[in-house]
Amino acid sequence: MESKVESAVGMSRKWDAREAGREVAESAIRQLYEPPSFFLLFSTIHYEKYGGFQEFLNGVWDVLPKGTPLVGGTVAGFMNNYGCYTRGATALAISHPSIDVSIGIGHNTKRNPKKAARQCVEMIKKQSKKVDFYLEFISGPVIPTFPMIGKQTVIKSKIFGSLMKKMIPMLWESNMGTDRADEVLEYLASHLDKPLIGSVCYDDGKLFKNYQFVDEKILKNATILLGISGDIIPEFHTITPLTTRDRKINISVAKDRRTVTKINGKKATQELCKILNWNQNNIKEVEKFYSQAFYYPFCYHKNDKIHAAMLGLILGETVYFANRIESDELELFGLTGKKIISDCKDVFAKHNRLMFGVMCETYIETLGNQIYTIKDMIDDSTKDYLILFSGGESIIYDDMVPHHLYESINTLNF
Amino acid sequence: MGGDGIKDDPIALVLDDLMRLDDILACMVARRNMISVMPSSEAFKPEANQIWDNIHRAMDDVFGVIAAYSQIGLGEMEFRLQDYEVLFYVFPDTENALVAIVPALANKGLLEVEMENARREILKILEGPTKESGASKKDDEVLVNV
Repeated sequence: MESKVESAVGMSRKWDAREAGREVAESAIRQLYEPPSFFLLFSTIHYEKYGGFQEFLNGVWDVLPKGTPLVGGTVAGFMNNYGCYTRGATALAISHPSIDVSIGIGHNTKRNPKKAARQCVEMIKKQSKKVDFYLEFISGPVIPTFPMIGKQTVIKSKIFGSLMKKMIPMLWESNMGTDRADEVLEYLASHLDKPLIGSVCYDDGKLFKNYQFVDEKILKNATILLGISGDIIPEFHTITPLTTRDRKINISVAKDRRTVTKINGKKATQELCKILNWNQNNIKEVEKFYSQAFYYPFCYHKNDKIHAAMLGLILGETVYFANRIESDELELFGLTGKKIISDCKDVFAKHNRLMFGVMCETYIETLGNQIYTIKDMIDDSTKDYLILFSGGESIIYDDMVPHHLYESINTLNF
Repeated sequence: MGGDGIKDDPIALVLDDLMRLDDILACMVARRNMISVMPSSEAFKPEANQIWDNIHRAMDDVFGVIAAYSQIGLGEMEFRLQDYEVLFYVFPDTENALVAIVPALANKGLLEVEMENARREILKILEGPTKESGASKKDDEVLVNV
């Protein structure tokens, strides 16, 4: 990267939304000699209760030069020059005269992911600008509210489960349920010819709400695409530090590629509980273990990448996965702190001027305060950096095959 | 219980920040048989009050272990009692710890990160006024506001 390119990481831990917005912008901008070419803005979900996200964004625009392209959204946490946080706001401002950006926005991603992706692509193409790579921020999953049951992820009753299964398309209509980020990415990959790194917006793991930011607007169910060109071509890196547990299963999956009706020829829920040693009759135990299932996901391979199939809902006898499963055979993997740390050394030990990255929220869940071990690695190698903890990670690079991943770590290194 | 901390005590303000997180039901800086600092501006959440007596008794036993092992590197401890977990973040080489009560099914990894940040903040406060509050690589950068 040329020396003239400036980058600055902003940060605020203030609770008041407007004050935090001002501070996160000011702390970034004051490190730059020139106005930013674009501004990436992220925050945890907390500002919803402390003034709201519109006020947060208003605070940013109290400081940020008018017309600066701004994109971002809510995240579970972030790691930057200053520390690791699961509460607060952060920003990355980049400035260089050669940088040009275009922004695409797609709405109602859960209702119609293809249409949302098409809206993004059309907006980007209308701006007729050269693009070298893309950043994508997409609305994350929202746990559905089922009539009479409320917000549930595990429904024991066969009758209710079967009924709820039929209601999933209706949930998408109301922009709830799984994020469908894999479908958005697939469309983007077939219409764009440059690499991309993406992040699924998230809250604090409760999966109630998440937001996307674009210029002065707060959006709820959108895909935001930022096309960037200029003298800042990054290197892409991606790893999925999972370890195989040497256990394979065969699944019967419906046409939607998400609804698994049978595992190893037996009723899906019953067999899943048996394989994972969950007591199916104890709904509290199933709920407890369900919340920990992200540490040992079932996965399949696609173009040498490990794709985790994320448990979405247990609906009576059916297991519903959050993303589409592109194989009838899955393998059980596990996530361990040791493997995460050792694989992170490969990605983060390389010296960089600037790094922007997306890590699965599961890493911060798994490592807790030990996440500082990874921060220490990056501190030794990289001047400015911002790593987001997200609800899913998208990447298109080298062979241009789209990978919507979970449990992965993707970075752009400059 | 709660609200007994000294107003403007910087450590109490760090605890206030933790108390604003939905899943932190109570927090304090404590040692065996003694609570040193409580949050200044917010009482414990009602859910914690219901189980406080039992947790308090169990805490004192845990502090016995902390006293015995903090000198050889005991960093964190936790226990689960009924539907709650109690997290202890030990201040190195002391018998004191930052303590938080959280729901057993809380998203604990996220809370642990903020517990660690709070421990670091408190350690800086204890080290003295010459130290800046917040983590930064560069001297001239904006720091974290607490």
